[in-house]
Amino acid sequence: MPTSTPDGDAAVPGDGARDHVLLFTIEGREFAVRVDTVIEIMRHRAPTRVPGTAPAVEGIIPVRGQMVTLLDLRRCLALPPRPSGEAAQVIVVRSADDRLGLVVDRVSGVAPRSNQVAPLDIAALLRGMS
Amino acid sequence: MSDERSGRPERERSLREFVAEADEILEALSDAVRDLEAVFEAGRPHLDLINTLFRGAHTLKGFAGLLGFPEIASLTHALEDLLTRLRLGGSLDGAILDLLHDTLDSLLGAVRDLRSGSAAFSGLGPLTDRLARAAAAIIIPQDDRPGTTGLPERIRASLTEYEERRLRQCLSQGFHLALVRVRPDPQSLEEDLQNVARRVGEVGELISTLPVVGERDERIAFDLLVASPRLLSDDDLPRTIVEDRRVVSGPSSAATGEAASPDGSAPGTEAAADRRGATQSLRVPVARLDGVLSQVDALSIALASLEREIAAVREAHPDDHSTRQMGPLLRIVLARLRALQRGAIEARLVPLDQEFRKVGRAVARAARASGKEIDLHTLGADTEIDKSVMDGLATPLMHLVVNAIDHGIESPEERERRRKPRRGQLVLSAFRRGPSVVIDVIDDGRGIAIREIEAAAAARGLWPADREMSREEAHEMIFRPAFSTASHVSTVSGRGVGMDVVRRAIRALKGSIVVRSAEGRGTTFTVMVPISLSLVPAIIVRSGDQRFAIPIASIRENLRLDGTRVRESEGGLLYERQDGQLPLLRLDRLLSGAGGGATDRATLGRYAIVAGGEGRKFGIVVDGLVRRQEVVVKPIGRFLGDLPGVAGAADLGDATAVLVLDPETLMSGDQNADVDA
Repeated sequence: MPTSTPDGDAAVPGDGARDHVLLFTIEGREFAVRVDTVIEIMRHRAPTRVPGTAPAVEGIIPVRGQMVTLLDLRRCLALPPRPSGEAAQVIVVRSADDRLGLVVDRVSGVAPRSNQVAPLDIAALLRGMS
Repeated sequence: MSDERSGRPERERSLREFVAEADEILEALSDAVRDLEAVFEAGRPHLDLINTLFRGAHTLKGFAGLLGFPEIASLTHALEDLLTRLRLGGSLDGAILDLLHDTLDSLLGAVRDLRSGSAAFSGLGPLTDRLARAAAAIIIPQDDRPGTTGLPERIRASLTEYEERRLRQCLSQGFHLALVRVRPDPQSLEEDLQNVARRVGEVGELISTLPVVGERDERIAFDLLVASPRLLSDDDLPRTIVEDRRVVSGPSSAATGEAASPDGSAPGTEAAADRRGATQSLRVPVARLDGVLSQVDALSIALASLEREIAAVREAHPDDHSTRQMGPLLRIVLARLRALQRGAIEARLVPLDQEFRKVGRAVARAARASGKEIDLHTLGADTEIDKSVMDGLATPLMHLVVNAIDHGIESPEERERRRKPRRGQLVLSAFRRGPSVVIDVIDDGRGIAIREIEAAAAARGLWPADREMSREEAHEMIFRPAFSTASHVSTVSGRGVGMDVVRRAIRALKGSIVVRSAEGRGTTFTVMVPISLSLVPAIIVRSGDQRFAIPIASIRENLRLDGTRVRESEGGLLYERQDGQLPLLRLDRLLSGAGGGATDRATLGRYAIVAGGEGRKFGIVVDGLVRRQEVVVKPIGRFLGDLPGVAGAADLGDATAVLVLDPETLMSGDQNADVDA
């Protein structure tokens, strides 16, 4: 059952995390990531640009003592860029030892995994970028 | 069966206990082996050192067995056996010394693996065999030591440290030694033994009471080792239980040759006792310190938010008295926080002493292997450095020292031919300079021969054959990969150790290495590394619309640019200075990999941060200098990897990250084309 998530820093429910996904939308389309990789959800804020990185890398922001790499999912998924002025959210996920911040339009909620929306394969996404 | 089973907390505790004890013991053993080399070279007797080694190995074996590390226990047991045979008069030679080094190295490696959680020490079996074979090959001369002839090996080997000391004492005082076999009545065993001990005490000293094994009789027999000023007679001992009395040796007029201090205790034990008693320190896992440090960091971030809020309130209520108070109060809190941060960082500092001792042992071994005579001097061993920096320095430092011995210092004969003192001098010195530690490795050997380097480089196709190489070029060439002038494979290091490996390791620590050398006279390698990789004093600069942090350790000076001194050249803009021309580079272009050379005078910034080593200085042009701040350098993220010119990122306290720059690697795109990123 989808639960609405508050804006800002939030913890996601832990029970049955493997079977649940976090739903979000970009450009009206729905996507998902596995809940067990999600560390938190936050408002998007302007990151520090890092030279010499792929175009999809927006930059880095510090979150609780660790640097999070912000990835513009629109670019990763070959979607048009976000219209200026539009708010965005960041889903911070754990990837190996790293922290990645997926920049999305809006987080919709948590739902049990279903066949309709397959969770994104973050690793494959990263490989495609390098 | 692998020693490593993960998960159980009890197992963890055993591991930590063992590692802690093993560390101390191995350190003492290391010193003993190093000292052993020295007395071996001097041809002096070395029994005390062998005893020290034996004690250490014995204790280590005990811990290993008790705490569940059978492979290590077996290895140390084999070591014990070898040392026992040496104690009994077997002779020490170079091969055995090498074996001791190898064993120590393996033990250090095994403990290191245990500490880091990997179960890699599977290679202890072959070494254990080598020790066993070497032990078996040691011949124990029966007539070797005066005063102990005739004492069965079994008895000798069973004596404890104390008993052996007492034995030597008595013998050196000219006592007779006798073995008395007694067979007391089992009913009155204790009384009989006490009785005989008392009787012996009246005429001499009872060194040891040793049960006799392998008897077919019901009654247990004991061999009493008795030392007495005069020969024992039948009346001295209770006849009823004495079965046999055998004189083992007569008085020896000469001392046995080992240094025995007046109170009879061996020098080794004193030092060990001192070390344990006087120490006022605590073993703390590094992870625990790091935990404290990250708490402090989190506190710093929270305080930064508070600071912003307070500023906002003060702006809204400029005349309110209590809000005016908040500013100074907050500043006090922040100052205390900085002190706390520094304290936590400093807790991770360890003296370089540990590394210097390891080097000491390696020098002794390398010198012997290469047939050279070398004196090692260390200065500033108490200079402190962050533990992880020291761990990173260990290997490159060892390489530098071994190189100095292999390629730097000449053989004694060659040195004499060159009218140099026969013994080569090697100096290892460390001192603190601001936020860095400077370590010099100095030798008085043959120096870097420019023509030799030139020829070797040409032979490898790294240098045009018809061009003369300057001293600076030769000094830079030795750092190029796969370059070596070794004319033979060194037995110690395997092959000429690449200086490029050394330089890369030091750069990974955000450090630098330079070399100065005079042909025929010697070479000095100077390594500079930051004391701590975590809290780094830096200058925050502004370039375009971004801020960056440049560690002060990399900054030679700050310049306010005088437009009249800027010159144009084909490579870019140059700045006229008294000591030459300084290339000016734009930060944004450097970072984007566009080569960096500033070309447009009009958009040139106002300040330049001068960085770079001797002869390679350059000015990084920035638009403004914001302030000086100590920053905690964090990795930018594994996905982003290692970017040239970027040491990491730091949170300045306002929830945005600034890139912390690394001027050394900022330039590497221009400098060493063959150095990979």
